[in-house]
Amino acid sequence: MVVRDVRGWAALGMCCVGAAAGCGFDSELAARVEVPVVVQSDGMGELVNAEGYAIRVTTMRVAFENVEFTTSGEMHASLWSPVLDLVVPTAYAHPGHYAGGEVVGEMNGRFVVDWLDAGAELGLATLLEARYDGANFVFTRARPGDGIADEDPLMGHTFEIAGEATRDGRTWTFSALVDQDEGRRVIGLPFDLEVDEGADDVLGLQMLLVDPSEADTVFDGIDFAALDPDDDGVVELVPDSEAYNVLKKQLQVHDHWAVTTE
Amino acid sequence: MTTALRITCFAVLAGLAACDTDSEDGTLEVRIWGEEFVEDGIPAEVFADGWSVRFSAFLVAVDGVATPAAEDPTRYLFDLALPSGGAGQTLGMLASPGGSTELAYRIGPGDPAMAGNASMDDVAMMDAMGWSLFVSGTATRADESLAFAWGFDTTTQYDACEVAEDVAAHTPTTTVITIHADHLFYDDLDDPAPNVAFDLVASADGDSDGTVTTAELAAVDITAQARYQVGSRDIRDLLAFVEAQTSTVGHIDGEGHCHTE
Repeated sequence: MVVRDVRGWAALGMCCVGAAAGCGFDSELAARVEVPVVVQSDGMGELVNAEGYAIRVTTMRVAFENVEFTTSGEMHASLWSPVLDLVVPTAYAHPGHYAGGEVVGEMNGRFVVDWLDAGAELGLATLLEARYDGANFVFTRARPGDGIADEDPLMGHTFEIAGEATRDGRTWTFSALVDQDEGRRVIGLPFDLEVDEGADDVLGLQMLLVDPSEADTVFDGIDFAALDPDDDGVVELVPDSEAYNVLKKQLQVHDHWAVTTE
Repeated sequence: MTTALRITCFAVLAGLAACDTDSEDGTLEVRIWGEEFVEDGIPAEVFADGWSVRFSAFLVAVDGVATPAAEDPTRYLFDLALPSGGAGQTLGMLASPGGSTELAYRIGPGDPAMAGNASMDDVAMMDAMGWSLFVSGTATRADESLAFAWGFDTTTQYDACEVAEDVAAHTPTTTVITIHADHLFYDDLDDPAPNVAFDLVASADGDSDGTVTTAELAAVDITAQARYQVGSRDIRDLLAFVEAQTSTVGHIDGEGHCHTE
């Protein structure tokens, strides 16, 4: 299931126009392309973590907001800079301040996404013509108004994760409700695309359980047998435990996220 | 300061006078200050875990100080722990465009410093070790006391630091490169409101000799810590975490921010 906040991205998609108008810039010069964004699930397949567990994820639901698309290169038209100056955060020398490329595209709003629901529509990204080489997004926690029931286990959390881990013929079922700090950014998702006016690309927001470059997995460091002292085959990763902290941090690493083109 | 490098930085102004400026341009008096946190210490109420810190040395190697109109070629080493009476240490004078302006500077390793208020021994140490920043001091909580002495070789370029006051045409305007020492004890690399904490640092004193070294910081694995989050950075130990924080200490005119590389 994908819950999308149409008002969010629509309103913020118009931000560029408003911003341009606000500084006296002719918005007609700011060519923008609206591109669909969908859930990309190719990275959700079975994996083996560093502890040797074969892991199959059966639930991976995530609450996040405000996807930004970035460039570190030249824009096609320097005339756009008045617009970009208004929408581009800058890198400041202080924790929490934005660091990354220049933001030249966005899909704002709140999203609660089932990452196993391949192809589910997330919304429309508004992109200025540019060479894109990165993306960012922001973790949040599901809340009323996000389109999920009050009794939904994800309510108040960032991740709902469940699955099975098997080693030496023994299988454990596991689950976790992971809370990222509100506003915690994931910066620098790989994204390689030249966007021109008239582009008909479809973007896929991808979660990668296995880092394709280093083969790290989001479940590395988790020894399921050691987390099952009553030997009932059921493991819950609870807040403030070492395994929970490891998983929480690994889910923040940009290597486990990407933007693909379909 | 014993054998201080008291090169009169005001001479820099003369050397920079050749820069193209118009009649409305002015002059920036640049100072550097670690605020009360460096000169007097970081009090316990700032720390989330009850520690307090006093610095015995806070050495900062600075160069590349520049305005849009002029660049100071001098390399400086300042010990910000030395008292300044709240005024900060004088760095130099630079020509600047009038009105709102920006300052740039670099904190990084390099050639031996030629100016500043640090001792020649400090200059020699920083040069020999290739450090840009060195801090030493003592952390205290109740009857606990731990010393620390850490050198860092990180390089941070601070650009587009917005000077708080407009530069006047005929009267020098003062701007202060402000160093935030508490960032070295932040417990998050991304949270805009992190805790200032020392407990994990204190736990690093593996040999229980009362001094936390950089080697001991490097031995602390932070991957399973609830705090000390690092986002996408490949940072797994406490030394690398504190090193990353060194790139956040530079500001301007108090809380003013700079762009960094």
